[in-house]
Amino acid sequence: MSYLEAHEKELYELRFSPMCKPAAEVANLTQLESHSTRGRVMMMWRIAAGHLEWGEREAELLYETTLDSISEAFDVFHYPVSQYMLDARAEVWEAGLAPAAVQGAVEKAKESSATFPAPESVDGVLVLAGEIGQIARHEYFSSVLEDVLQRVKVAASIWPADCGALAYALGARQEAQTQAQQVVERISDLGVKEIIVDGPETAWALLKIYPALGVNLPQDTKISLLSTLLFEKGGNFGEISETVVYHDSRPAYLIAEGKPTHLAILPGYLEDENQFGEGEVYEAPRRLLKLMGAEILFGSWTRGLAKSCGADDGIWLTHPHLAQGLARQRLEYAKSLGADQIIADSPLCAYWMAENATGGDPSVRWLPEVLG
Amino acid sequence: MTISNMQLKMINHELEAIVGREYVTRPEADRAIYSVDIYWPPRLLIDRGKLPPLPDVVVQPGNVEETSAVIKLANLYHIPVTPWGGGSGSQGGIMPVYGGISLDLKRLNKIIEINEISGTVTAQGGINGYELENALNAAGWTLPHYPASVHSATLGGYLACRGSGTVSTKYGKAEDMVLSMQVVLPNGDVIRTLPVPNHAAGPGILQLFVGAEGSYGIISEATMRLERLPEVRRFRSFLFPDMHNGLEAGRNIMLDRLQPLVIRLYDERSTIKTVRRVLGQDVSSGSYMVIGFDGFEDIVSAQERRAYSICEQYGAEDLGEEAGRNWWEHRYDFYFPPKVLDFPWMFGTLDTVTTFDKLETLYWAKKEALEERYKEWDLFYYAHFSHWYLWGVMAYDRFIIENPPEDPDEALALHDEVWDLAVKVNLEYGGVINEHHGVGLKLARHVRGQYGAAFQVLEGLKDTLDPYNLLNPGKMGFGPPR
Repeated sequence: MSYLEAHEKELYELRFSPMCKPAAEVANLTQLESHSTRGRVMMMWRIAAGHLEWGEREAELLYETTLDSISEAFDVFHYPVSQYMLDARAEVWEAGLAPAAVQGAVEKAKESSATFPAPESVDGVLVLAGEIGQIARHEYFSSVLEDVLQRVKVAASIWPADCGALAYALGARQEAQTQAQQVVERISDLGVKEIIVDGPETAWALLKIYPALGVNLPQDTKISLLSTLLFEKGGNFGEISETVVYHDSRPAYLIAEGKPTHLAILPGYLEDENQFGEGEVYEAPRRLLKLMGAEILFGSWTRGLAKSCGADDGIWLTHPHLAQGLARQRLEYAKSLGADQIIADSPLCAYWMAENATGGDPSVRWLPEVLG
Repeated sequence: MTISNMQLKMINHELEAIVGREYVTRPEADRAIYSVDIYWPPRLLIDRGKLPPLPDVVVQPGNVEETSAVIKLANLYHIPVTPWGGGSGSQGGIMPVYGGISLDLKRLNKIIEINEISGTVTAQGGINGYELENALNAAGWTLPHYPASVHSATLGGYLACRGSGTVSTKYGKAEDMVLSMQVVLPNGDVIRTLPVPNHAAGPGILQLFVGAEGSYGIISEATMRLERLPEVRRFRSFLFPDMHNGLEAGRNIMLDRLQPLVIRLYDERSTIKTVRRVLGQDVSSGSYMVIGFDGFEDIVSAQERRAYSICEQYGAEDLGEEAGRNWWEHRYDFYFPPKVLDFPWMFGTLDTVTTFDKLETLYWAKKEALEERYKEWDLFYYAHFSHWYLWGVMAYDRFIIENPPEDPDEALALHDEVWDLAVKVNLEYGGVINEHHGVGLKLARHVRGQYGAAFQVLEGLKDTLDPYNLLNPGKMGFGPPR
């Protein structure tokens, strides 16, 4: 049975539904109907049912999108759309049909992982900085991370390891598994029991991808978000007097504890932010910002319904023009809410939005950058 | 229409010159979705491994000038053009039955102005309904048009199909909310209707384009009246001893001009299903109603008092607020899978509207006719009454056949037969062929019969505006491109 055939029943149920249209990020950028969740699911169902085969354009359509976990969140009954996407991409990858740009991105990730060998030993906790390792300005982000850890007096060794999240998101499961095994072997060798992750994508890798690939961390390994650690350690982080839009990355949804409720998709519903998703990944950074007196502006595309900034699921590497469009949309959205700055706890998101910001846009910061 | 490959390439170059290369799309993998809305037949074809008629090319204009230029090009080469908005219609209006261009209008999605003094919004026709409403709510306003398709439909689509939303009983249908429109005519000329809908300045052309489903022109922009967000909005539900008493209560509430936001009255079959699902109670008879009011607290309280008194007069049992509020908050749930009606069933909404004096007779005649004729298929008929007027009410009636023929041709034939009989009864008992879903492809063959001699008025307009019949051909009873 192919990956998609395993989902044939659910794809059958979803294939004609247009209800998630406001959510699908790339479709809202291009306005092309084949980029919509419905267009893609109908295609995937036809393939799963044997009415259509994967061709060049069909494979392309799988990658001219994020994993569309936002449609999963928006859907009242939360069909696991992102899982269908992951499995479809794995099917395409293993058939050798992944577009050249996708193959190139996976190859590049493999090469760059050699740039960041594991530390020889760990002083204190291990910070797995999988997101930072993907950023061109990784040295800057690593130094910000070192500074903030010093401030809260946490001894740590930072390892910008390629955790395999990118390869997994792009369908290269064998490559992701190899990477995951290398990371876990090194963690075991180092005798590490506590891992801090630099952002939600790294957390997604350890908490969800590794078990799915059958790669197990040593028993009793504690995994924490950086924002949770910083809040627990406390300290005077200064004040934020500007208005802020807090940006949740799409991988945050994949590790959150509670999904958006049916109320969140009612037009104009703005009564209770918790209806848009619950979980430590959403709360921890907000707690920190509120401690600093930040006025966090609330718009309905938040938490589980936060739209991708383009730094998710590899699209910024495979389809940079689409990812740039997504970044611009997030910047414009924050501007429309009246934000002075956008803060994200994902270094990858902060980097990508900042790269695409122009004069007049809100400034973009990674959370540790604003902890004065 | 068949276009040769060479011609297609030449035309593609011209289209790309108008809208930009990235907005002209040819691969079949992209075109396939442009043949499908909520209409049952194209979905049946896909279900059976086939494809419905596809457009030859998808074109996405970015503004009204590009839209006009594309239409002019289509006239030059006699290429059919089928407008595409949200693709959430139930009548097959978007199906490109003669191929040609599928004109995806969603890039025309800007809000031009929210006019706080006049209480209006002007927006482009391709704007998504959900996005429009969110923007309006942020400014303290609402466009009180809340169809089930709000997450997918566009403003142009609302107007093109004369759509209705859940609160139409108080606020009207989309056609009642429009003040003026900008329209791209079938020859590519861009016109504006008069700035206001009520006047004595000659025949009104605004309503010619409303409900024309693209056959007279593309709605590129519309100005709509808004409402302020209400102070309160409350709901209550009742159980009447039978449908007749429920209808009488509703009729009197309307004739007393109590302005309910919504009245949803369920027939007995729907009541048994709904009350069990919503309230967890088993009833064997009766007619369930949800009724709501909104506005200022003191006015709403007065309206409620009178309306609930009427309900009591007609023998209703008061079931309280919770169920009504629950319905309001979950009103979109039933359009998401797996709750939405879907294959392998055959189903459709046979809605019509008529005056109060004819409604019950029409309901029973239709129910009897359909259930009797299609007894061997176990046709299940049920209804609720959800869009009320000062003079009548809409019957939102549906049929389900759980085990339709496996062969697609037989299934399509049965599907069309059911519709033919339903429409016949609708027209015979004082109704019309549809109340708020539109005509599309599904009912196109019935438009002439409905209008009789008056159809020449519609046809004359079409012949003048679109002599080659290129804009949305095959719909509205106008036949193929010439």
